[in-house]
Amino acid sequence: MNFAIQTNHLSRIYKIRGSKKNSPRELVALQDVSLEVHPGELFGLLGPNGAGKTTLIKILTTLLAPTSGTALVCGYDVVKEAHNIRPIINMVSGGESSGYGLLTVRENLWMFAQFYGLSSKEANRRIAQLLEVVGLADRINTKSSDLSTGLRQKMNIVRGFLTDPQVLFLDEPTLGLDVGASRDVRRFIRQWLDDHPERTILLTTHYMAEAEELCDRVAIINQGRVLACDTPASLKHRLQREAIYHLEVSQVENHYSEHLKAIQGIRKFLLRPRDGYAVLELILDQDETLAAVVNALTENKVRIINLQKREPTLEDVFVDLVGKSMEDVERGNNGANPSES
Amino acid sequence: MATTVPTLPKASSWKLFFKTVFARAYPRIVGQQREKSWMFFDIFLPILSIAAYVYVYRAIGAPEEYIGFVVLGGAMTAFWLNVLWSMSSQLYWEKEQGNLALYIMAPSSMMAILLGMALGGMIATLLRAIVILFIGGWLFQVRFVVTDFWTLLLVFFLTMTALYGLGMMSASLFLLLSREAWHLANLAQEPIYLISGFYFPVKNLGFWLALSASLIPLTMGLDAMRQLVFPSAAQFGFLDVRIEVIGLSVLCFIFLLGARYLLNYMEKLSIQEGRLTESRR
Amino acid sequence: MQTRLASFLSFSWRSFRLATWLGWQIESNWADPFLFTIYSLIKPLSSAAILVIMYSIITKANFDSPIFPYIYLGNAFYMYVGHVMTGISWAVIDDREHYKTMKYIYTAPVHFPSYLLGRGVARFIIASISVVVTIVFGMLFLNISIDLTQVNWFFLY
Repeated sequence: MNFAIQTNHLSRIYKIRGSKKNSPRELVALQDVSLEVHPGELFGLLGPNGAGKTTLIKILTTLLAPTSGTALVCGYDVVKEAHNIRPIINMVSGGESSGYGLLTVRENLWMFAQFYGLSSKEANRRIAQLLEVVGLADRINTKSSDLSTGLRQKMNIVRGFLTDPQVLFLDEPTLGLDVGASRDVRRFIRQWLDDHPERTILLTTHYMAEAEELCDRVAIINQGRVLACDTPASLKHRLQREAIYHLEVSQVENHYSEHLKAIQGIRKFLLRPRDGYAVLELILDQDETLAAVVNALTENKVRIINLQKREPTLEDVFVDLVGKSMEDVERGNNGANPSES
Repeated sequence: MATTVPTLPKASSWKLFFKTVFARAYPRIVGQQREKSWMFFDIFLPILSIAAYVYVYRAIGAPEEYIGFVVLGGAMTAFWLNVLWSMSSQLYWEKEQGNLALYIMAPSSMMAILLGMALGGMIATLLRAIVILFIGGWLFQVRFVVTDFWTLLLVFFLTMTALYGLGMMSASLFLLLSREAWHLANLAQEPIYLISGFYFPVKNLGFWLALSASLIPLTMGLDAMRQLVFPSAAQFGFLDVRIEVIGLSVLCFIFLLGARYLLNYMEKLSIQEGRLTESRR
Repeated sequence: MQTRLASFLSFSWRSFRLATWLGWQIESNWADPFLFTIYSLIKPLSSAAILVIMYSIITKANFDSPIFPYIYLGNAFYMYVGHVMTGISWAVIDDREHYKTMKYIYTAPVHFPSYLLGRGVARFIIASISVVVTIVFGMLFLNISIDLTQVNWFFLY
């Protein structure tokens, strides 16, 4: 089987320069990552900041060498055959400020197209076409320094698609964009892949909803390791046999968490304080466990304001795998009140 | 087994090389039309600097040839500054902006990218140098008498080729640097003005020091140009013009070859150490 | 009135002090002390050496003439002009373009002129090192004699 992207026990360790005596001298950014992406897939890499998503993309786009393991893009080795990979890939990163402010949108895009060997005529034709699609046609002759962040990001997205890459890497492409712009970009990405079913996209994101909406398959990554890899539906189905409940409770203090920890059948719970109340997210082995939870809350004089059973989301999958929400991992603490049974 | 699907038709390797050179030169050429502050920073300020040295020479009773040396040297500093700031440390600035990763990832060679930067920079700088020469020459009544135009052109061409080749070599070294890039570029200004004899005939440094300094292409280039442009300058020359032409040709070869080798080596090293995209300030 | 003045002075001083600390952090930590020392020596001495060589070529190394210390000291003190002017103006460019902190600083309760002056202090200190090195070199090797008791300190400011 020919894969668009294939990694085999891929690892990357950074040496930390100038580190102090008792602090770690190495940072493990990726550890033993083995993935296979089929041609025509929109493959998502979902994980919090610092999970290793960008490191993986840098390796696959030949910007960074792995410490161990192998990575192939369209069958070419990223280290030994980088010159064969570069003509057939492109990359767009979120929050990019690439290009030259003094040049217009068209000139910036034309310049990058030349680096890929496109004729000027073809480049200009595609520029006009793609700018029309993303809604930037009226700014084609605007200097890129005069564009807002969102419009600049749209220009960069066009840059990525301009060269008609076989494999496109999108590293948090909607980072920093407003809701409308993000929606436009996601729609554009999906449409492009639908129109070019033989192309492949690898998308990294830490927005669950984006991964669920766009991706054919998702790999959940945390601290350099791939924890799970499957379609969003299958990943959520893992939790289907568990019961997921969302409660709003009156007490913000978590003095009752010890009581909850003692209850058999609670796989995970998270307590998030809000303004005047708290949200309790529960993953239970079975629905029957809920009664014990309600009893424990009642005994501790905690009033239940709202209770609903929900369908699992990728957020729940992440919590199930990692033990904390993505938000808490990013905050670098133990979460509001996480617990494992 | 590698698999690819047909994509847009793209240029073969030589065509890609030249397309890249032209595309990368484009921002530099267009940039100077759109951002006119260079007229102040790259013409007026250098002329002030030249004026300072001219007045020093006049105050100490230097022969008039020295005024001409200063004007010519001052005009040529534009090229050294261009090589330092727009070539050597340019990849650091590109890294800061996020363009470097896109250049490395593109199928075009870094040599083509740097050559485009060099050509664009050279064209922009040539304009500045000519304006400084004219204004400086007029202000301080310097008489330029070109004794051999074609040799002068050859010397200028070889000097620029070798100089920008050196710039490309040092650009690859700067790939590994971070914040210190700015400071090292800053450090390389005055010492080079000194040992290359921008403001005085380099032979006054002594034979061996002047010979060592000749590794900087502007040393021999400037020395030869002075001999060709000022009638009595031959007595102040370090080496015969013909020897300097040969020397510059050798430097061209060494620096261009060195640039090619170093670029490949430094790119590989940067990829291994992860220095292409980090932005450590 | 006095309270307002005191408050303003305190506000300006805080801005200046913080900016001085920030400027020094930026200017001084790009290299290890050895490299920093080399940088602080080579640059000013090269600049001075250009003039020294120019002078010695024409006057056949007549360093006893009074015009030599005039030129030499003028060049030494001129370093302040370059360093401080570019230091302050470059601080604006750096903060805005590279560090992207300009908008936060400008909208903070900071006295901006004092902030800019503070940012220039680090460059002033570095320039002072260069000036002192240049003058000391001239005194040691080029016959420049400076009698501190003869200096008109009042007019120096």
